[in-house]
Amino acid sequence: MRRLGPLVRQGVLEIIRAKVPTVFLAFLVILAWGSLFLGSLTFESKAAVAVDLGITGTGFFAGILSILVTAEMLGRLVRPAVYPLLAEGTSRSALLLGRWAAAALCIALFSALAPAALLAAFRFLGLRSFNQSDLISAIVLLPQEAVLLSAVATFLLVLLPRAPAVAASFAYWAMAHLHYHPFRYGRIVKGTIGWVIYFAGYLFPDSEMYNPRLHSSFSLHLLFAPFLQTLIYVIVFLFLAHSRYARRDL
Amino acid sequence: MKEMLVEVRNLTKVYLPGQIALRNVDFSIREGEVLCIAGLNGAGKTTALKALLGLIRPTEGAIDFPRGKPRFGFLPEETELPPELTGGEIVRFSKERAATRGVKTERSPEEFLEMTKMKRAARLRVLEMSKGMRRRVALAAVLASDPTVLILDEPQAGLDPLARLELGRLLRSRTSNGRSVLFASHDLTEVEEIGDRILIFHQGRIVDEILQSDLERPGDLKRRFFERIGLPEEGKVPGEKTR
Repeated sequence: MRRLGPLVRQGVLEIIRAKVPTVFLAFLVILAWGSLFLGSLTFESKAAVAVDLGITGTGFFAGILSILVTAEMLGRLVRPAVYPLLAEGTSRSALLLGRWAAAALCIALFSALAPAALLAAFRFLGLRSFNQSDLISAIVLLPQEAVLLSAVATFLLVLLPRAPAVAASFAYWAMAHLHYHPFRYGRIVKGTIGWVIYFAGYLFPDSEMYNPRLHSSFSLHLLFAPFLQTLIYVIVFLFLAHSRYARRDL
Repeated sequence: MKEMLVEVRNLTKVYLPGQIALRNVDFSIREGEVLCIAGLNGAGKTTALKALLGLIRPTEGAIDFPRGKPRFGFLPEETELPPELTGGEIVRFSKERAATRGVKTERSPEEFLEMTKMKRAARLRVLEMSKGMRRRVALAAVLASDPTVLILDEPQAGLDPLARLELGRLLRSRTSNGRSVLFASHDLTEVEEIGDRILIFHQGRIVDEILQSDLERPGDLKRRFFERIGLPEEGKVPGEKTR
């Protein structure tokens, strides 16, 4: 673990220098102003529309941030950039974990800060009678989804060249949100193959668990349930990424 | 006789069926020597270095370390550094990583940068540096990990004549305290000037091993090189008709 320290610190510094915090602030200002403006165009549901747009916007932000930051940090794992590090004795597992930890740390922080800042902005700007629980749920849930997405993208980045890996990560993210249980959505294909596809669906994370609107009306216990799913799938995808990375020629 | 640090035996690397990069290569690295690998493009130089460093897995063969695995430092042919970090930060992180492995050095990042005449890059971001400056900063970062065997792939690439001269001096000075240097290059003049021992690679094989003491006149290496790779005259392709 001691060896991860410099790798994580360097990764975090690279992210900060890449102006991710500046982009984050600019995005927040635009999102808060845009949500309130569009909300104000409605007759009676100004607050509901503003919150809904805010949550959707932060969700998009968390996903895009997760994939792009992961691609920037982990995309270099197969490039000459890491040859000196591996040659000097840094293990491949430490390199992968250190770079991913730096990415995950920043992704989780900004994904949690986005809905929190939005909540504060709405309060500060005097938005009345809006459902705060959706935004509070988003503070807990969005970072988890973003970190999980980052682990999936990491696996894809060591498996495929960078451009297809980024495309596949976006495809995975979109697929997980476009349909409820994409693999389990009815049994369209009949026969044995249909059953294989159906059960394969259970191997993939259930992205609806990270839907803030779904959780706000449930108990606190259920709100924290995705932690287990996040932990299990992050470990699985990082293990798969490491298995591939440890064996491949660079 | 200098002690052997690394012994490579029967090293073979096949990337794809029919694409053989190395064929039964044997060589060793001894304490306090500058070993050069010379060869044309595609001769297998980089593959040999990568196999030695564990970046690729050899198809056959073994790499032994009679005195335990030495600390390697590697400067690859392509210099890729994080574009937003400064030269000082890059060297500092290298030093910090080395410290976690128990390698303590008294020198500051600026002093390492000064070793490659790049002290002015301490506060410059990589994206503000030229190709040659990046290369020298990368070398300073490698030196900050205090390697016992410094491995360089085409180290002169992107360097001006003065920087090449300084690099040659730096590499020679490292051997005085028992450190070893292995570098691959196709620049025969530099290889002749710096190397204690020269291995000529051709089509994945070692076709000759030359000691510095065997070379009597400048240009001897070039003559011997073309002879060994089967080109009777420098620059003339076999079978080419003369008009």
